[in-house]
Amino acid sequence: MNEASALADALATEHAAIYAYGVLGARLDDPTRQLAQAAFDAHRARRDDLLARLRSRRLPTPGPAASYDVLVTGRTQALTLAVRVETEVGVRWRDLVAVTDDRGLRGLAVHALQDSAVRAAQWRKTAGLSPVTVALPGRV
Amino acid sequence: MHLTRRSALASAGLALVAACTPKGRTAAAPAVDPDVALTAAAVAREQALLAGYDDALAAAPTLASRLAPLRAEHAAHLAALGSPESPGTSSTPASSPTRSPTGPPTPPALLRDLAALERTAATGHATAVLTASRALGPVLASLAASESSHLVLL
Repeated sequence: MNEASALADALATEHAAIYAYGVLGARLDDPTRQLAQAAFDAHRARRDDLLARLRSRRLPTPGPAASYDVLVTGRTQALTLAVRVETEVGVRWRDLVAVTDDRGLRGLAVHALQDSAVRAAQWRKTAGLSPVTVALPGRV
Repeated sequence: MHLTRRSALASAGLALVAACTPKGRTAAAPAVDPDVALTAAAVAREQALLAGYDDALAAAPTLASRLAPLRAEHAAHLAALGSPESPGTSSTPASSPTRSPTGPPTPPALLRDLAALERTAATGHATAVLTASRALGPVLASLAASESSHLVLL
């Protein structure tokens, strides 16, 4: 993996996260729905940040996939999907740290990893899952 | 550890001499590897956290079910840094400067102190990510993320 492919992977995962939150948010009630809305907004901001950095490097900026394999029929599935989304996003951002020395990208990646770990913990806590945290977020 | 440029060069020179000595002892690792200092600082942050958790657990055993899993993750962080916690050397509770002279700290105060420690460590790890090697960077990034996630439970 190189910097360009890690950036592309991070973008693809952010696209997927935005789609997933759009679907799962509809299956939640307040105040949990607000948590999903905040996560949706945060992932859109990360996506936009990534798009800007890809453009400045004259790299491709692929859009979201035509469809995602996401099935959410109730609250439990919605929360499980939210945990999965944040876990996958975290892996991609951590991967980026391993293939770039660019401080700007490192800073973006570590903050995105921190945010995803916090949200994953919030979702696990909301779902009543245990443990709520993991020792090394983003590590496969 | 702080090395001046001159002493760093001197160390490197000594290492070179040692490496060239016939049947010489293995030369020490170059003193200028920035990961060495970054790792030592990260280990110190984790040890401070472990001491903080031990303090809190000693002061309020009722918090054990909440705090023990978080403490275990800090022990895992030390292992990930290649500096595992040695058994039987659990830190002795140190007197906390924030402790009220009128009595033992309350659980809410203890949790607040731990949250502050976690935040400080998260910031330290995240800053270290910027300059660490490609091997150490991801480890420190995970540590920063873990400390931040602990705030969900504190």
